[in-house]
This record gives sequence, C-alpha cells and structure tokens, in this order.
Amino acid sequence: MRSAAATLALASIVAAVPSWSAEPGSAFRDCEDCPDMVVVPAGAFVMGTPGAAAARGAADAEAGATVVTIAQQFALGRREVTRGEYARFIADSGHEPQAGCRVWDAELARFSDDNRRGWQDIAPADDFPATCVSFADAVAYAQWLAAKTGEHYRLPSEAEWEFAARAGSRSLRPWGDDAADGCDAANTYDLVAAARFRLGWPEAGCRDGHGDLAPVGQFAANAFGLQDMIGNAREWVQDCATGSYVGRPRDARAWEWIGGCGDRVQRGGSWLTPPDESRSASRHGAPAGERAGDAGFRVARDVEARSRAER
Amino acid sequence: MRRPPFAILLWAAAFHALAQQAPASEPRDCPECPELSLVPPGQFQMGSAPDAPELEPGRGESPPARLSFARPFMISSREITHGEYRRFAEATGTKAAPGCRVWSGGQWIQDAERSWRDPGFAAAPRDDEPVVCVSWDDARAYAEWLAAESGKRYRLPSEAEWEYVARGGTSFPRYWGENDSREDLALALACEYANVYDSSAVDALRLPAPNARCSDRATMLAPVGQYKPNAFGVYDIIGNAREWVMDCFTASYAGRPADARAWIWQGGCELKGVRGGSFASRPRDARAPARGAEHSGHRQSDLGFRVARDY
Repeated sequence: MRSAAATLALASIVAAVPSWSAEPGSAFRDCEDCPDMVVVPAGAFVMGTPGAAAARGAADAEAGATVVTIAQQFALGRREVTRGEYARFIADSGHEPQAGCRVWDAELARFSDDNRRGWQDIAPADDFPATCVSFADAVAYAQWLAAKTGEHYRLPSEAEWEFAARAGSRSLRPWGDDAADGCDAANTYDLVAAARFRLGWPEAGCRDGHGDLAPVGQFAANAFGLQDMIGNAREWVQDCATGSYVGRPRDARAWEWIGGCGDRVQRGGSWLTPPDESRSASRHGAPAGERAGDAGFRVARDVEARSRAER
Repeated sequence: MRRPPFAILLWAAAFHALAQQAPASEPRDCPECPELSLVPPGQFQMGSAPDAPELEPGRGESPPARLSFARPFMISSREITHGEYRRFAEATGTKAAPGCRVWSGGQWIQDAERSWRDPGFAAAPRDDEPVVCVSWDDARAYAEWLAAESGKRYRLPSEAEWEYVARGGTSFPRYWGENDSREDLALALACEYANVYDSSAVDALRLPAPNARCSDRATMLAPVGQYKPNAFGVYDIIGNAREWVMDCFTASYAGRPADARAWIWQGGCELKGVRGGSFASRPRDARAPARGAEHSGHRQSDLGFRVARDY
C-alpha cells in the first residue's frame, strides 16, 4: 500500500518534468523562425544596488535593494529580437504598428519624434535588433510566438531580467564595476559612438567597434550564455515603472498595477545610454507607447508549469 | 522664519471661517452607518516639494504628484468608533482576533492578551473613541459590511482621497495652517484641531521626539469629533488614531495613478498605506502629506480607520 502511494507520487513528479531536457544553460528553439532561447537557472539574488550612493549613477529607484527569489528556471532569448524576426511576425500576424520613431536628430542635437520612420528604418539589416517598438508591439510579438508554438512566451519580468543580466555577478556590470572594461561584452556609448554622435554625456573609455546599433550576438556572452543584455538596444520588460522597490514582489513576478500603468520599465541601456546607466541594476521608465530607435526587447518563456499563484 | 505669503493667509482664513460653520452633514445611509461628509472634486498636489520642512527620507512623500479628481466622493466625518465597530462585530459574529501592539512600559510591545475590545489603556474603551487594534483586513471587512447593510459602495479611502481630504482645501501640511514643527517653529495651534503628541501626552508616553507646544487634554485616544473640523467637515483626520488607506505602499509616487484611484498591485501586497499620525506620532508624522505603512495584518492601539464611499 505504502509503496503504491510512493510510486504514484513519483509518477506525478516525473509527469511534471518537461519532455525535453531543460538543463540550465541549455539552448533551444521552438520553431525555425523562433528566437534562440537559453534556460536560465532558478536562484536568489540581490536586486538593486545596495549602498547606491556609492555607485555612480545609481538612482533612488534601485536603492532599496531587495533579495528576490526566482523559484523556477525559465528561458530567455539569447539575443534581442531581431528586425528579421520581427518582420516575420508583422507579415504573419497582420499586426500594424503605428509609424513614428524617437531618434537622435544630429542637426538639432536632441532626440525628436520622426513620424516618417518606423521599425523598418532604423536597424539597417535583419540581424540588428528590432527597434522603434512600443511595449504593446513587444507584447504582441510574444503573444504571436506563444500562439505559433503553444508555449508560454512573454516579456521577462524586471526581476528575471536583472537576475539573467547579472548571471551570478554582484558587480555594477556583468564584467565588473568599470564601464571601460566592457567593450568586448557590450555595445555601449563608447569612444567609437562618441566620435560619431556628441550626445552631451561622457562615454565609456574603450572601443567596442560600433558607433550605432550593432548586429545582435557580436559581443561576449555572460555567464548564463546571454548576449547584449547590457547595451545595444534598451529592452522592454513587463513591469510598471516605479521610483522605489519598497513593496515589490520578492519573487519572479512582474510588478504591475490593477488598472494598468502608463510607464513600463526598460532595462540594460543602449548603445547611446550614458555609461553610468548602462548597468545591471539600472532602471529606466518609458511611456508604454513610446517607440525609440534604440529600444527593443527580448522574449522569455516558461519552461516549467508555473504555480497558479505565480501566473 | 519663513512666513506664508499674505494671499495664502487670506486663503487659510477663508477656510477657517468655513470650518467654523456647521458643515451640512448628509443623512446616514443606514442606522449603523457613520455620518458622511461630501468632498468636492478638484485638483491638488499630493506630497511635498523636495525642500519642504519635516520631510522623512525614504517614505516617498517627495517629489509630489499632481492629481485630479473628476468626481465628488464621501468620507466618514469621523474615525470609525469602538461602538460602531462593536455593532459590526455583534451583527456579523466577528470574533476579536487576539493580539495587538500596545504602548507599555515606555515602548510598543506585542501583547497577545489585547484586542480591539481591550486595547490596554488605563480605562476601558469608550464607545465614542476610535476603534483601534484593527488590521487592514478588519477595516475592509467593516466597510464591506456597511456596503451590504446600506447598498452603497463603502470602502476604505484611497491614499489620494485621504490626503485630499486631510488638506481640507488648503495646500498646507496641516489644514489649520501651521507649516513646520521644528523646535524654533513649534506647533501651537495643533491642539485646537487635533489630538497629537502634545504636552498632555509627554508625561505618559515620553517619546524620543519633539511634541506640539500646547495641550489637547488627551494623553492617548480622544473621543472622535472633539476638535475643530476642517473645511470638508471632517474631524480628527490628523492625529487621534492613524488610519488605514486602501493603497499598497511603495516609497515613491513615480508611476502612481494621476486621479483618485487607489494604487493596488496585481497579485496583492503586504504593505498598506497608513496615514494621519496618532496621539503618539512625532509631529512630522502627523501631517497631511506624511506617509506611513504597515503590514495588512498589523494591529496597534493607535491604528484605526475611516471609511469612504462613492457619491
């Protein structure tokens, strides 16, 4: 009797394991056109910047550092969603994003909205990150992937994003504390970009070889095998923007309000972000409808059945 | 010493005059229902400027948020009393959950013997004193009972509604016009308007904090409605018992709704907003814009609530 019950319990555990091997670090693709995904392990980490005053550029919004537990492994896009991947979604889904893109106007020396340009016009080739996408565009892409594959594709939560970007590191950046040490790991506002665009803030004191957006996957991967988490394009995450971590969930859930929110979080900074803000913990809030020439996204997907409470 | 400009003094005088008149009270919605005050729609600044006196760091009172209320609403003119809560408990068979944080021997201690029925003051609680030792959940249950009894949408006030009411149509942190409680600018009018930490409470409480330099004749709780109301006909909104509000708490207004709605997280939250200060609060905590928070289940002998409803 006892052994029968034990067998039954064992059988139900086995049934809960995905049919394929979801080893942390393993990579997969759910379909030919689907983005490369990497399995990110479960774990706990300090979200935010403890003693933020000591970190140059650290803001109040990331100062209330909080221990967050990612209870279940999940999959995250190895790279930012590319213009080519996004184009297939547009062609296949009939999704019609509004035209318009917020870009750096070199003549006016400021950011301005260019109504003639859209997602087709900023990234120069299909292997560059898709940019000029709103939060809703990014969510629509993930939902299209979910419908296409039957898997739970979505945007990562802010906690998942930072956990994945840190990949076990506690320093200000995945490679250490110094922005100038990151030119083999990230496309940031560096000497090359500063030579092309005078944006009015300091640059990282190294050369990453790109003065603008770079094709995805050109830079060294972090310890979880993810590329371009810092730099290249800012990335939408699911969470509403806040000015403080006080009260946030201590788990992988996105922090969202009943009734919705106007501003969503973007993470990682882009090729033009001031180096002080190109950090693992740096938070940027943007109006959900904003389409910017240096802002894109990557997708996440569940790899284990989530408990109802976490959905 | 900073003096408010003359126009502001005139404005304050007009509200003082208004406050002297007996405000028109609405009929009660049900025999057990509290008396309500009608609050007009309007706009106001929630929170304080970064250079405001008495700011408490880390509570998110500043920078402020500009809010607009499109509709009038109603709020109980007084804090819900012991007698009102007792009638609810009797009618619904709600048992008094044991355990309350009470002032004893010079500090706040958790006392398993105490409850709203006996919060541990020198005398037994009077029916016209505010009910205390009630959790956020207890307060919500009371509001839902009122809603069922009356057919009206009773609820806790949102944090925005609470502060709008507490300012009483003024822009002052205290509706009677005093701006600052620092030693050289100590409160003197407060005792006409509120049961705060004053000279009557100093001997009993001996808090390591400044006190209002006047006597309100109450060491601990006072019967509700003993002091002067504000221009909305609302009593004790500063002082007496701290009051639960509906909102989740985070230490910044960034991202909050720009209207009267409560700010509530999807999936719920542990920390709820607490407002108004009590007889045992430092003067800086007993201001309209001062923010506090407690866990939903917290019960304390200086913490009660008032109710609101849609108009």
